[in-house]
Amino acid sequence: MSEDRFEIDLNRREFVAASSALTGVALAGCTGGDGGDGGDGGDGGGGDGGDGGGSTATEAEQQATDAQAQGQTVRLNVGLNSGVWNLDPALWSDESSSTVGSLIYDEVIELTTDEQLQAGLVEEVPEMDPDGPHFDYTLREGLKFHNGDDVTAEDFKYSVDWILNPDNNSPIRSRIPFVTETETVGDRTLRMHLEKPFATLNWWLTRGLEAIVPEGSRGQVEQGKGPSGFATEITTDASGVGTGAFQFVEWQSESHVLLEAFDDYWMDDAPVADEIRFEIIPEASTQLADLRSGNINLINKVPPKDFESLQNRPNITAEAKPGSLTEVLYVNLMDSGDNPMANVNNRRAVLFGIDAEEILDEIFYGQGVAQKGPWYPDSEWTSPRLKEMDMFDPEKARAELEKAGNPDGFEMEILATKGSWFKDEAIIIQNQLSNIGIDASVTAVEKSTLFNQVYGTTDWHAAMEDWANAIPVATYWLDAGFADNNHNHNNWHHPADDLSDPYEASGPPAPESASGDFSNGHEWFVSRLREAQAAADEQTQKEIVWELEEYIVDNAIQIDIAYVNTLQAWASSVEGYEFGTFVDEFRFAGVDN
Amino acid sequence: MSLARYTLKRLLLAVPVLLGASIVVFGLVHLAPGGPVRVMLGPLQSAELVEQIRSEFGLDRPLYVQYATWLFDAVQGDLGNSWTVQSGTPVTTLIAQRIPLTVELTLLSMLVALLIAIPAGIISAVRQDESIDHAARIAALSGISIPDFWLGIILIMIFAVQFGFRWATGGWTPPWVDPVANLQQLALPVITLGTAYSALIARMMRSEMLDTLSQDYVRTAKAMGIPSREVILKDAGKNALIPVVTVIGVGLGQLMNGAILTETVFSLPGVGRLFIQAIARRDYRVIQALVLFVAVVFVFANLAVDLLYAYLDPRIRYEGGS
Repeated sequence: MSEDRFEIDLNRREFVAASSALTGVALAGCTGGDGGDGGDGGDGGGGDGGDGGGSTATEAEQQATDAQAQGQTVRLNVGLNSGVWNLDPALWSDESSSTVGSLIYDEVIELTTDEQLQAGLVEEVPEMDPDGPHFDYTLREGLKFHNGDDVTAEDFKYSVDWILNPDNNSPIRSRIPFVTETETVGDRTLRMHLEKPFATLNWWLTRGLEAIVPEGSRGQVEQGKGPSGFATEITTDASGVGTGAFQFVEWQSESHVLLEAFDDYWMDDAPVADEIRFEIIPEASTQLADLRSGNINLINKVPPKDFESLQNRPNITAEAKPGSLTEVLYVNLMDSGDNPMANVNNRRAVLFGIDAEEILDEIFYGQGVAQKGPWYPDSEWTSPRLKEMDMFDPEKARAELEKAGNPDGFEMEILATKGSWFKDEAIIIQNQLSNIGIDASVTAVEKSTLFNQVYGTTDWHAAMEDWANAIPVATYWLDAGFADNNHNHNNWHHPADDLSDPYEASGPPAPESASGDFSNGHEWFVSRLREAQAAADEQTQKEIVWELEEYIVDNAIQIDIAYVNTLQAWASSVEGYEFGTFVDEFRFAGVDN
Repeated sequence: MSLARYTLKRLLLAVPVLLGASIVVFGLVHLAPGGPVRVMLGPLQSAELVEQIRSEFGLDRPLYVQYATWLFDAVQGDLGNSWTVQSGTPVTTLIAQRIPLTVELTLLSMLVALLIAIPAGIISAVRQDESIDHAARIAALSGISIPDFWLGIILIMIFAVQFGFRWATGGWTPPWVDPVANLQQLALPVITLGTAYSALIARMMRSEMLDTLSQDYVRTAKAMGIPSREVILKDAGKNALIPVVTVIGVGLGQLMNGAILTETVFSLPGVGRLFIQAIARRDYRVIQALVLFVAVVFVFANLAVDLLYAYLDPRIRYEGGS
């Protein structure tokens, strides 16, 4: 036991304050279950590998070497606040599974913590060959699965084809877009043929192809392990099928996942630790106590309210980075029943009536950044015009109400998940909107009920949720959130059977400047987005992205509120660990146990 | 009626109790909004796929058909595979992995509760209205009033954060792997869970003891010159224990309920946390199996208590009265 633990000194006032706060957390956790404090997003999100831009982590390696020389096991204990769902990289869609899985498997193309592309299982990041067009991905030499077998182009093809096969219902199928066919070329190369030029495919693959698994390892879905889209042979047992720095040892749901170092890993200097044990600790208070007492070495999701106090703790490093999680008010564009959100001016009134800064301060203790449109406000991919706009403007909101013919406001309902910060956010929005005359009611429902209602019906007005971005590419984000896919949360293009036309007229029309014949704005939006994705020139892409962002804001297709920071903390004994907005890097992390 | 026949009768009566409990819970979990499929798939999958998988799970069938199917399999020992807690893993495996911890936690908590409560109740009664009695009553009232989870968090704050004891945040090492680590890790959860229960038993023990001490046979025994200590412990104490045994039996079930919160606060991978997880993820099969498990514990704990009565009080027989 280190001496410094005895130096932690709580006075009576601190103790009472901390106890009260912890009690609140415990109550919330006990009633909120999995939905606890949000953060589950929808686009996959966070927590994957990348080599940290060439991190050397020599101190960590030295610590590990010393410990290993003494016959000790260097084990990194990591606290996760929610359990793992699925260890099949073609099926997982939650952050915990992705965090654990990213160490069992390797991406074909990796994203680094500083948001660069680098070769993962392939020798190099290929350029698109316009002839075809196609990409050729050549595997590194000598790659091994954890079961000792060589990784072959056939395994590569199987892994891609399985995701692309619509019968398998992989939720990440849309992350490998425009690939019409795969073809093995020689022993180590897989050629992906494209329907059209798509220059940013490599970025998409960082989240679309998170693993190569042995041919046939997922089994025949229809023979056994559950419905397609739900489970395969490797959903609960990833033994032998990975190529990552750590191999799967055991998973006990709601307890832990244990991984051990893979000796034949293709990186010479990784992994540093002998083992990583992910402890599932749902209670934030217990997780923090575990970190402070040394039981766990790292937590990758610090509650905003505890962040500042952790920063002031000796022997603990607490850092904040821009997050990939955005807080969003979904609005139902569909002209169904008495839905006030079908009216663009009503939507704009809501948009200008919400003060994102207040939400950030009250809910996230200032840890985040208010948005100006869908993308990061300080990015060069955000429209210069939007950057200049005041998103919170009550006068403008009232003017929009006048235009809508509702000068005294209107009534609307906001859905939010029970026992989560979404409900708190919705209540703040309710108060803010009341200042401009909008009478919003907040209805708290279970997470699954909210999903069912938002994604399966047209019978709702607005819903408070979050959404996790997966890669730092604006065209990807616009595609994931707004193009024609299954996770349309604004009913802009609704695929339900009860609608005669999936592109209902209630959506906004295409802009007057649009060239071409478009029956509605969504059709135009997708068309322009595809142009951006195909464009090789970055400036061309940017200009289209700006145009699309402005269209989203001008028509209040969705009300983007804030990107919340990622807050992590680890013991000072941990060396070599890095995290970024989109990925965490555990491979070079060591700890002096 | 012989003891064997009585036991058989009670076991037969347990069948409708368990059936009733399973029907009620089956209905309630299916009536609750949301379902396992959307929880598992998240927003990335289409409404059509959600419906398709619901159909494959049989969730689109009438409730009575679903229940009958589940019951038919359950009586054959097949509780099915988990849908969302650990997809594809047999429910029996999930529960079996967690039972040792919860049983150990419950029994140790009961033991601690009894070790505290029975002496405290006796002393409090014997020293009625003295300082020690007041102190014991205040402690008992506090023990009942303090919520388990709050006490657990405070103990973690003190022992883990303030004093830096690594074992203080919980976790579980099986006793057959490392008995010392096991007892260390369970110390605070057991205190947390046992305290409230000990307060309840202490109050009851005091009350029963006061009643017993005022009985004629106790006065007679004292008048005959039998030492007070012997009268209190052998005569009064044993008789006062009989009603307390009833509470202890029911308490086993209560402790299992309390284990849900305690296991969550101390990150103990037991049946209680599995229950929370199954509810959050709408894993109907796991919920149903766990309710059945808890109901069985309740039924058998009560049966054991009733049978224990005969041992503690020879006047009690099972011919339909005492």
